Amino acid sequence: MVGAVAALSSYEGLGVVVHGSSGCWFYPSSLLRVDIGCTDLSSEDAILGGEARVRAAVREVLPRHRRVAVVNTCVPAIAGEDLAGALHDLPVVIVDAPGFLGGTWTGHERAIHALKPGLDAGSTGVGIDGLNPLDPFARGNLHECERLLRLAGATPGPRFAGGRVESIEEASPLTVVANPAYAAGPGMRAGDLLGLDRVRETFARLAALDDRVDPGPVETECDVADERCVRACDKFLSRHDPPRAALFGEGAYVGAVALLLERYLGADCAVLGYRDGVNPPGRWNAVRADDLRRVEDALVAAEPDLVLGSSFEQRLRPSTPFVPLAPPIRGRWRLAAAPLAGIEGTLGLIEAVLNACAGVAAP
Amino acid sequence: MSSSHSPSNTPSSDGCTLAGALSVATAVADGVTLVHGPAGCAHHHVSLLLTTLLDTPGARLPTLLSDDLGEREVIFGGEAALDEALDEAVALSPGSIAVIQTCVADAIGDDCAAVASRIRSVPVVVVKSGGFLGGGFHEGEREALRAYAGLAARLPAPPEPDEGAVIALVGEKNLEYGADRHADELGRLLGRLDLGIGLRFVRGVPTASFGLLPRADLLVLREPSLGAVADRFPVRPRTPRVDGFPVGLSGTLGFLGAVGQALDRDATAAREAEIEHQETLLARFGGLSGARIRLPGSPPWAVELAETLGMKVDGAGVPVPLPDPAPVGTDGLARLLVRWRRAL
Repeated sequence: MVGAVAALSSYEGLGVVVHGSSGCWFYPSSLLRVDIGCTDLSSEDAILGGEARVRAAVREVLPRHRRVAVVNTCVPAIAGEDLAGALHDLPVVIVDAPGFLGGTWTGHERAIHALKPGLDAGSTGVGIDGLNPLDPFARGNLHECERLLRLAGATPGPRFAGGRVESIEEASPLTVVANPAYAAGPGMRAGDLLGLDRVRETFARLAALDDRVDPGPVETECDVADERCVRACDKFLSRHDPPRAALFGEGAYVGAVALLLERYLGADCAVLGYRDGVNPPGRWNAVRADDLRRVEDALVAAEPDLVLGSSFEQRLRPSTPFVPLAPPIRGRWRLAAAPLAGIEGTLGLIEAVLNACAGVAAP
Repeated sequence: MSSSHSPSNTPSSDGCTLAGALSVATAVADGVTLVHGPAGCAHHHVSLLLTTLLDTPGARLPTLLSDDLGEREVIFGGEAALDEALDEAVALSPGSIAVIQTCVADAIGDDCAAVASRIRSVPVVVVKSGGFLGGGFHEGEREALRAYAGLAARLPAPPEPDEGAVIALVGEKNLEYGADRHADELGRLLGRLDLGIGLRFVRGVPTASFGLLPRADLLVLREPSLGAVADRFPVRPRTPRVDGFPVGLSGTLGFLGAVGQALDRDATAAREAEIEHQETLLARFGGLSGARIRLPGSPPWAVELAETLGMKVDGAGVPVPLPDPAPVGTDGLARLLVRWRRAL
């Protein structure tokens, strides 16, 4: 449910109504800090049916938006309410995403599918997929993907999720992916942009598919960034041992970051904890990390001197250098749009790791 | 410039019982909490608890398990998942296990109590909260207190505290930033009567200490609305109680009087000492005299404080902050007066 609400709320012109209790509404609202409606179901509604409430909530939200999406939650889903029938005469998208169906990624995917995106075969832009506001790097990733596409002479196309609600109908046939965990949009995916190697590969593929794309400037910038990382890490390694790292987050993120840590710092990536059921590719000691006790056990076994993950992992190893990689990230201010994808994403990650390991406070 | 810190269209009710029940259950020092529902419910609340705990140095992250009900359990029932998760909880050797029902568990009709009755090696408390189907935050909090009170009746009584009389604090607001500071203030006030806090029910104490509840000589409720919960506590008949933590200058003095009366102790000297303490505090903020302020809602304790300081309260004055819940005791007022001074 939360993943669906987050994806939908990133569209300008799309109102979102949570069909559930105020408790279900509270969490996405407090995380996203956007205007989200709620049918505020009570136990009486659960027995007698919440159709009247959902109609009222949609009518309340409609005047402020061009379209409205209603996200169904656990109890009305179990009760089998006929939302389509109740809302048949209103311009509403119904997203059946009760929490028991899975994690935020499932909700995100169901939301995108419910929106029924349409491909614009004549589009000359390159779409950006894999964006969801729950990803702490989503905003930075968007900016970085757009920058790199422009650097290569391409026009950034519609994104999934986010942008104008009308852009859902104008999806590009060709896309790049910011975070594979949230890749759910239509079109052919040229690849992701996690790490400099993937940036090079993806832009080479884009160029092969679209002759308007020139990967040269991106490759040049990758070379410069690579050199900067090598130089900085070499300096670090002249004074410190390589870190022994524990990484937690979405499978694609932790896998890509582990490769970077190995490449530039010779790091021992002792454990990779993946939350989304997507085992990171490679030869890692990968564990499922959707349970705090399992995370704690993994941290005890790994004895890392660097932790990348969420505030949960940070709380479990409070005296170990920490770099944010997964939500929730609490207890620190994060205002700037920091990417993990793209060239700036790689530079930002290496910078954060070096500063954390060397005990340097963030500027 | 907008400085809104909360979503604009907050629904009317007070959320989900799960949050309230967890605020109690996760405060049991040696407890394990098992959320019988989808993993997302547990994740949301761990995340919210974490945010609260970040402001509390050294606070432990509570052990919270979920039996991760999915589509299969929704169709075929979730009792087997609960059974398996209980074994996992028992393996952690906790002092007690709290099973908290979500709306999903309630909707599919799982019999948590029957599943939990299989466990003999560890006390298990089933909080029949039912997610939002059981009400909101406060209903969840009360349901959890009732469940732990039921457990208290079955536990052996631990040794009584040195002070002789057992004073139990009931229903501290565990998600409140100043919860421990408030308890410290109560401890200070009770100290004026040569008394102490015997039991914090439920905050930061091991399960075994709940056995003191039936021997309580005085219950101090966090707020009057907990009266209905305390009515059914397994305590001796006519166990006295004070229906709220002390608020305001005269409220604090009244608290000392009420405790003294309940335990048959002369509170005269304690009240005089506290009056002196209050005068010292007020003297620090003498510069506020004459200021015109506006008090949202004009609660009597705040009006009394302002007027004692020689401030003028009217609708045209400078709005000053009023925390909710109100500051506890005399020392709680000091931080508030610093904020008033800053606002002026």
